[in-house]
Amino acid sequence: MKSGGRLSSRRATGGMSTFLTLTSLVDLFTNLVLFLLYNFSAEGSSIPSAERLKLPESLSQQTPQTTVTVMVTQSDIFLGGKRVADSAAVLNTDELLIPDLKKELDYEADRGKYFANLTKANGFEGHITILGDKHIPFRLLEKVMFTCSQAEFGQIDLGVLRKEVT
Amino acid sequence: MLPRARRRKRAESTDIDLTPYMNLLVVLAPFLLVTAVFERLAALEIYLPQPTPAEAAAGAKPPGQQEDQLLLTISIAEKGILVANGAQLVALAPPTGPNGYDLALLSSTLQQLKSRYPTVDNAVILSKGNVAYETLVAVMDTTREVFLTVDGKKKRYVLFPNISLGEVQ
Repeated sequence: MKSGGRLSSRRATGGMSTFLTLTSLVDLFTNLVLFLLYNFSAEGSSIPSAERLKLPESLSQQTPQTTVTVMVTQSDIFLGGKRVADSAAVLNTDELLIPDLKKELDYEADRGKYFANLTKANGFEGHITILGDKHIPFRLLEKVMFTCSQAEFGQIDLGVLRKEVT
Repeated sequence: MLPRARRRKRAESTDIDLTPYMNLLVVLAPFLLVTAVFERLAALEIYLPQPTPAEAAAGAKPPGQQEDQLLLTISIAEKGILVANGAQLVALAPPTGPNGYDLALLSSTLQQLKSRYPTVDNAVILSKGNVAYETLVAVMDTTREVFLTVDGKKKRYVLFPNISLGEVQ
């Protein structure tokens, strides 16, 4: 009975082959591709997706430079992916300078100067980006900023997530 | 045979062959989905408080000469955000919650100050040591610029983009 029904329905269309209507699917794909092309960025994501690092949101439109980055979470301080200090220990001292971070930053500064010398480019400008978790206290940020400026990294940028104007 | 086939073709609605286009979309969509960046990083430039010789000289001037100067200082404390011009208190934006402040009031105060002193771009933000970084960034955003709706369009107005940070005891 079932096969008979199918046969008869095919006969009803006059024996021609039926096509899938792709129009709506094409519409959907076109919209998706246009949206993704609009959002496309050739730089890719330079945000380290650490679980403990939640950057604050800002309306800033300035694009960050690829520089030395210091990551500050509530538990650790990283310099370029390497853990250099413990946040709690840093917070407990009255000293503004973080010695371990300073040591690593000095090394980075030396390297930056060496490469700037090799390439005869703009020279060493001391750009650094601080990616801080949004819950860290200002005291910790201040210590990191102070250490950066002591290690000849004077041009400090704060890394934030771009927020659209509502 | 031939005339019949031709007649049937004319009766059918002729669709565009979408197969090549579909191929393109099927390849493009996953590629763009994989490379899509939904969270974009931005940067906030800050100026370290370094007293230049010119500033030191300005500070040494007698108070009568810098009457019409704006030395904008924004302090974030528990009782609210204090906006001060030098030693003179301009406004106080009270806290609205455990971690929030009345940023709308701060913004309107800063807009008034900017209209009175249009040439001033500098601001100092002083925070208590325990202020959350998120709060600081929100205050910096409010200080840097404001978005106003003019004739149904959002327009960006720069307030005080050169921000220095400091700590208040």
